[in-house]
Amino acid sequence: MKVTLNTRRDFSLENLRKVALQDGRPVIGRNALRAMKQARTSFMQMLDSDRSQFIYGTTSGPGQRASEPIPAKAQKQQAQEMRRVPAGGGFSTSFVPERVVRMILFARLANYIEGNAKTRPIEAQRITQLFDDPMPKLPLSGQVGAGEILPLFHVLHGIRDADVEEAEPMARINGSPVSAGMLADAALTSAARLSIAEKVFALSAHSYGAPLEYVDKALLEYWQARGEHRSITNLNRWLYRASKPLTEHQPPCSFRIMPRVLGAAHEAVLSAQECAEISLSSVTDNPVYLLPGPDNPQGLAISTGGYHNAQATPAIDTINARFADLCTLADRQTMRLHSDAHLPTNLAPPGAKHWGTALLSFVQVGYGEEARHAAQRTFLPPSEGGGIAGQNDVASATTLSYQKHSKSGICLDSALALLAASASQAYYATQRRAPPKLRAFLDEVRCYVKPVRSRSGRNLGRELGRLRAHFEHLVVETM
Amino acid sequence: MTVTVSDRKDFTLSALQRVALHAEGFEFSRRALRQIDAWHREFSRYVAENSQRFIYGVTSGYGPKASTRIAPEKNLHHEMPFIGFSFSDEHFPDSHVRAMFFSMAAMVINGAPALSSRQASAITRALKGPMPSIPSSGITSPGEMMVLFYLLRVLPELTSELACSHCNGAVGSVAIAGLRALAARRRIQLAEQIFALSADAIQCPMEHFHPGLKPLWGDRYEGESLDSLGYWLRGAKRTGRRSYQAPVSYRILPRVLGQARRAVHALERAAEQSLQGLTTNPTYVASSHGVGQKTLSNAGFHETLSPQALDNVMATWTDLASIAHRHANKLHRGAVSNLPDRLRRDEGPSTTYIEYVAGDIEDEMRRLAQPSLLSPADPGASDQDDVNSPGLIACRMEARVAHLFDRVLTLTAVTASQALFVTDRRPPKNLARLVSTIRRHFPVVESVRDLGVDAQALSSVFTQHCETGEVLK
Repeated sequence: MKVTLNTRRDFSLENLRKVALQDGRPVIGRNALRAMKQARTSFMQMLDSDRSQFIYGTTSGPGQRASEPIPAKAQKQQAQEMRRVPAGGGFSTSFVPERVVRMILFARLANYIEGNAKTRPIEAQRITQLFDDPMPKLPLSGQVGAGEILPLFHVLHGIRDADVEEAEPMARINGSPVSAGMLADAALTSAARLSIAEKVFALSAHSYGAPLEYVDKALLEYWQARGEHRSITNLNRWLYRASKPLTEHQPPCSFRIMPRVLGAAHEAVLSAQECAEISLSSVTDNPVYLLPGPDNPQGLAISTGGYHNAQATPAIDTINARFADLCTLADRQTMRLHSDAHLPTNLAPPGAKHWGTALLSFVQVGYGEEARHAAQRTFLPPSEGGGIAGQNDVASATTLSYQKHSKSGICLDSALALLAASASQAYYATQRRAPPKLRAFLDEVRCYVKPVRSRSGRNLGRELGRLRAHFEHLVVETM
Repeated sequence: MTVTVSDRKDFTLSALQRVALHAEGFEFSRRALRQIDAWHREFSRYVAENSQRFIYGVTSGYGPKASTRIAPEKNLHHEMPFIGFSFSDEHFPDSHVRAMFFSMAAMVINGAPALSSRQASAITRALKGPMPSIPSSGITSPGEMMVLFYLLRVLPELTSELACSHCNGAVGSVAIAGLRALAARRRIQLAEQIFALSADAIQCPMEHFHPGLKPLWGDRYEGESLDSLGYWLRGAKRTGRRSYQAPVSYRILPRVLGQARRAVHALERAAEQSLQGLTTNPTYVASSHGVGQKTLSNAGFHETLSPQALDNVMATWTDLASIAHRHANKLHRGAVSNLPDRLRRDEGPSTTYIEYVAGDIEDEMRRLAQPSLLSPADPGASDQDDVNSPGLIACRMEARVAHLFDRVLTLTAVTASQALFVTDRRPPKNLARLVSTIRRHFPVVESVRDLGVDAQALSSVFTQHCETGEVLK
């Protein structure tokens, strides 16, 4: 499938999905080729008009040599010396998923498409050629530095060796496409994860058997936040025509606060999606080329901090925090399902072993703790490592928050698997049926973890691990 | 002036500021009181006709006794520990308690607790003072009952007369989040001025803040920060500036400040939405809603949106402090700033060594600015109350982090002021007033003195400005 790119508007989440998940191959459109060609021409005219003006990395040295002017005659030679993107320096035991590397490569093209990267069109086409090869491996660790040159070394090292001209080498590795790609992935996978979470929590709420007033749509008359609207609407969809409760009094807080905690999670994901859409289509090069206009007939190349995406880390951190909260809710609800008086103790069905599935409540603790550790805030790193001569003195932390997000996702899938198995057991022990719209999902859960009468011949850990893996698979399949 | 409210849309942050911070009068409009009474009468009839129905705290006991049936008339005088349990070295200022009564009033105007106009008027009376003294920590619980215990001491009408609920909602955290939002807006505006001053002090090339970046970045908040920096730097001398790009900590300012603006805006939105949408447990849904009369046991007491927004705001203060500290270092480092090394004139005394102070503060901020996650701990001896609400602690943490941020900003401000002094430069005209404030409390350093004392004075002025809106002098 070809995804034709002509303007920055083409850098949408929809096109990103095609490229990252459906094997889409970006193609530079005619309009974009024309725009890049024109921009390159005007940029070269501007450069030739005064080769002593400061254009970072073109008429000056790169990085810590920014204050060092490069003589006019040596400027092309400097570009030639940087014709190969160096191999990356990071190393790790785990790697960024291939789909995310595709997202990063896709986002990389946004600087080029309207000519702001000031390169010849061939440079953008060289990047699209990388989609024809196996995706490069991007280690998950060792990528925190000023801008995003560290991960981009890994991602773009495979660009074929060929002639390069002034300003082109710097355009390859400057900007913030890594943040855009990682943020987009976190936003899309988190939306899919929340869909699963809502089904599991709806199952848990109904299996607990208390009145469901706390998800009544009338609350939307008061609560104005879009996230809470989503959570209440979705929970009502799953709980439609649910059978009568077992008790008449309100359930514990951990059930009643569910729509609000899910609502905050929705808010976090919606904000991340908005930031991802902005980031994908942003031009973030340094120096960036402002196209010719009335004030600047030859255009203007300016030094900026575009390479520092400040939105991505807080957006991902916020999702991580809400995932930790959902793990806490899952823990609390698993506990209530196994201990409250109106349900069989330990959810043991009549005649079965008395310990029932109490183990599930024990196991929840660890995943919740891990999730809370992964939800610790990611600040700008205090270290000025690499900031030689005072230039690169602040690192971008997106890869760090994304690394924690990978952990958060696994923890949430695990906590949901435990809660889903507990809810399934509650239905079994009380001989009740799930609401009609949740029955297929309950069957899915039971494919991996059947209701428990006896633990002999069962390996619950393995079964739960498979259910977790199934949830993870669903996330990628439905993102 | 008196703030008169008729419906929930009147509960804006601006009205909160007037009632809580400026201690202006407050009243429900006549129309509002008529509506409140109509809801209350309707609810009374509903209870009489549905006395067998579970209505938490009306036909049932409270907390651990939620499953126990109690006749509505007996419930009015049953034991509730409205006496307060918390203790702390500090107590909420009166402005915060006024804000809590204000948010109670917002809940009443929603009809959710079905109070009578007499009960509602008790809240109006409470706002006239004196305010009850409420410890500012030891108050986190499921919902916000630990704070309500104190507020209800001065509102006996709420618990001795029939109502759907005595405002059992997030009245404390929503109120304080609103005040935090007001302070955050002032704080980001102050921060932008100080960062602009620092950028001018190091003679940043103006291209780092070029308005042409707005369409390229395509982000509303980054556009606003570019506009703001442009405003403060208007008139700055354009010749003789650095001929090459400034350190990253300067170039990324518009993007990091843009994120700060996004966080502040999100807090403002969350605080106002939460204020206008306050529900209580249980909430009475009146017939006028068109979905049939009912009572709903729900989690109106558990505020999630403003804690999330506060977390992002305090993280942004921490990141900005980290940048401010780098600026103070860079300005003192001649090889990087191209200014006199350590900002000394003729080897005389200067501000140098004051930049070291920021490290301690910054580390404290990092420790405090962790997210307000739900605690998995059992809060107390009740299976009903199994998860604490994070709102009040989120407000407290953000306030503390913000206070520390003011201190780091102070260090950068005095360093930038000194940089201008040692190079005989004047600030851009829009920053002249700020420099005047800085130098009034922290004169430029020409002789040895205790700089910490002056920095403390300036920091207090900044904090007072941000927290109360007091004009910088």
